Amino acid sequence: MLQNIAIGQYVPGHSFLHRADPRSKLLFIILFATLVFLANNTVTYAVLVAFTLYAGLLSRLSLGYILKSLKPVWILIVFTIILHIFLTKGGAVYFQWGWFTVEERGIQQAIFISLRLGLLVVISSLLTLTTSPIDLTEGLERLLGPFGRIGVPVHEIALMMSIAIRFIPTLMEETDKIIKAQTARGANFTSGSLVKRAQSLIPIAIPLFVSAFRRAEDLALAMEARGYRGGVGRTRLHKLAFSWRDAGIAAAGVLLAITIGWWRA
Amino acid sequence: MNEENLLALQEVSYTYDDELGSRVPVLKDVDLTIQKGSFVSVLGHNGSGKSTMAKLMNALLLPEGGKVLVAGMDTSQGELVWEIRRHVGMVFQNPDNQIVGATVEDDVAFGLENMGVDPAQMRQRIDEALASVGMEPYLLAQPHRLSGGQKQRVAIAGIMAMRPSVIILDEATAMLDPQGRQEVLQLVRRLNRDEGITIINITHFPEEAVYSDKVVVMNAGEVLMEGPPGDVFNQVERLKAVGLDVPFAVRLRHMLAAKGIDLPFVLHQEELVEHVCRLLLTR
Amino acid sequence: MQITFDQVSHIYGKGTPFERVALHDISFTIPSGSFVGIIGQTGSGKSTLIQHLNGLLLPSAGTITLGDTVITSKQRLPHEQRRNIGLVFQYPEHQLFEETVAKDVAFGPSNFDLPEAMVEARVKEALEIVGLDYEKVKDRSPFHLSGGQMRRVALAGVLAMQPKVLVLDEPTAGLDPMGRQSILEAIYRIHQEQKLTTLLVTHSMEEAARYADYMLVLAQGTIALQGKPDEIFMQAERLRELALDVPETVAFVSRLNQLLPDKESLPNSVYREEELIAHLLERLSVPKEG
Repeated sequence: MLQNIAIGQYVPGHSFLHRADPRSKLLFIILFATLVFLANNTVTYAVLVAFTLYAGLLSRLSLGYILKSLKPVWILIVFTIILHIFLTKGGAVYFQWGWFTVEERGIQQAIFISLRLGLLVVISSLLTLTTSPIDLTEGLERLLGPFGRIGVPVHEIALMMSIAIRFIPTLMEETDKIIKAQTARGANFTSGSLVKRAQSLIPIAIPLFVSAFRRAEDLALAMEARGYRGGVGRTRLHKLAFSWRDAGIAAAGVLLAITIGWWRA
Repeated sequence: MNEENLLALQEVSYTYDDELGSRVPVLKDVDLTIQKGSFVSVLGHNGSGKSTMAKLMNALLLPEGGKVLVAGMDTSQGELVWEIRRHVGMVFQNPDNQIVGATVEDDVAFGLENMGVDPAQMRQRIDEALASVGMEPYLLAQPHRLSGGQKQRVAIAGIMAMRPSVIILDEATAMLDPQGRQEVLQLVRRLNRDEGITIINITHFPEEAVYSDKVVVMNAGEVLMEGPPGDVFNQVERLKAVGLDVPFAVRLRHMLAAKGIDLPFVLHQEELVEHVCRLLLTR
Repeated sequence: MQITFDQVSHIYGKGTPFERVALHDISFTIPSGSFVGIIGQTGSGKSTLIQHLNGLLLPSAGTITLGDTVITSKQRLPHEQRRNIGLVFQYPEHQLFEETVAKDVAFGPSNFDLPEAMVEARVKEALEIVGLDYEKVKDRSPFHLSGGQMRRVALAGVLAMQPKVLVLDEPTAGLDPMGRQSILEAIYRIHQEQKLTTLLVTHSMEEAARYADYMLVLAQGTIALQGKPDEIFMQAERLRELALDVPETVAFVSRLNQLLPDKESLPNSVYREEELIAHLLERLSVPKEG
């Protein structure tokens, strides 16, 4: 059901990860992603997996719930595994059937690459699970702040993101309503050829666009009426502040980087 | 200009382009003054020019002819626009489409952020504004989880935080259920009485206008009638001719009076009941 | 078409953390040709209820009978049956999407594979029922019409399917008094002319009082009251408990009766404005004997 989709997937809480500054979490993810790509042997991957599990514990969310984030990408992971098992050659031959072989390098790569994918997904889910969309936008805006000086419309981007977050549930409801209204008029979205099915989306897409534009127009007017005139001279309600938690995250980052750098082949 | 007149429209005219590109006048030489601290209702059917009038009062639109003065400031003077918008808050029809913030507190903060208010002070003003509309428990709520009436109250809180002199409700109750409508009306009546905020309620529900100090009836871009509710609603036939209804008690009394029953003009049902009762008992 | 709900319940998101009972043990029978007013606060289950009528939602438990068709949690409404039930949602103008008014109105009937000539005839008829001039509006973009006109086009889009049951969710929301009046009149006219079974969901007791011959009052997913309008309005106390108002006419009569001695009191069953005026005129014009 459309109305049951939560925005982002933020789960409110008070854990270490929830209370850390979104900027340090964002920066850490960038570092982590780099390290995941640097990892290239069993030890480094083991360190990363162990670290991710520990981070999961810090979020105080159930492991099962966190691993659910892998659901949308599992096909990709399985596909990667199959691809590597079949196509990557080298090392000992484990299995042979005619021209078809499964070799040591294939198995190894299958595990490493799928772990790489999985780790990235899980760690970034930890970010979205423990950071409210508003904090996330706030953090991005601050991090990108310096780029404002070279002409990047940072304030506008952040505002657009927060408005998008605000309107996602509204537009979801709207979509649900339009689908129902057209269904009541006999529209059929589930049968017929592919072309027919694509065509059947028009009665949903157009009203949705029209409504989104109407809302945008209304919103622009309402914002203007409340004195909005761009980012200049604007103050912000929320102030982000680093705490000891962020020092902890920084230390963990440095430690992790040294470990991976040391142990990688 | 008279000190007491917070808002004044002087021979204001405005036109817009229709679908086919021809110019359609929406307001024709409108003169209107709004007294400080008053509760004014503006009635008129769709297309009578009442919404355009609201947007002119907040400098969202600028008059093509004539002048709009807000606390003595001319809206066409560009540098005064921000001060004018701080003075004149607007609540629009669709509760969903005017909430900017992803949480209630963020939304109330929006206007303050635009004004460049110091964040330390902001917190206090948000709390005060939410208290004034009775929405304190919803500080961190997400707007889409609120009822229509609650959303409009949040919108009003966003305006109250900016410490306005006037709040214009541009058909702000049209999309609400009866409960939501009551919530919003009771709130603005209280803000008018207790905090001295001038209220301009643009509506097509005649019942909402009964308690105002002044009723303005718009038709085809002109002010058709203007005066205390009693004087305006007394002209039932004239209102009907422009597609407007009157409150129940007025309508009932009008129908009975038309058949020769001797009943004085009343606005409220309670009064009519008393008169009818007296008449029934003395017959 | 007779409509029967037998112990119908609906639960949203069963088995998830979002689980919510929207309808609980609803039973009623609406004879063919009735005009039913469905009243209740926002969140009382009205919208959920009407979505069951054309199979957009299936009951979690219980049985719905529409004419000869039975809907249960396992038995869907067949596609071709859907056109018998015209469902007009709140703000139906938001579902318009075609380039021209005529094409948009034709969307419904075309979905049921009718011959083109027949579709055109129905489009024309439907637009005229809602009071729009077919020749004038057929080639216009629906998006360039006024709000009230757009709503009529949307209504015509449902009428063009020639349903036997017409279900309307707050058809007057957001319209001005003239627009409200004329859309309701159009609905009532077609209800009578085509002998439809009509269900009108409304917040307005006045609207229900004016048109309905039967009423369902919903509260928290259950039917709090059902019956003829006068039976419902006589339970003013109960309605107030449900945070619903009685029509002004009813409030007037009950206030008046409180002041009058018993023998002078007006019948409590009066709720239509014309009826009230007639009563009062009769009582007031004839001088008391003696």
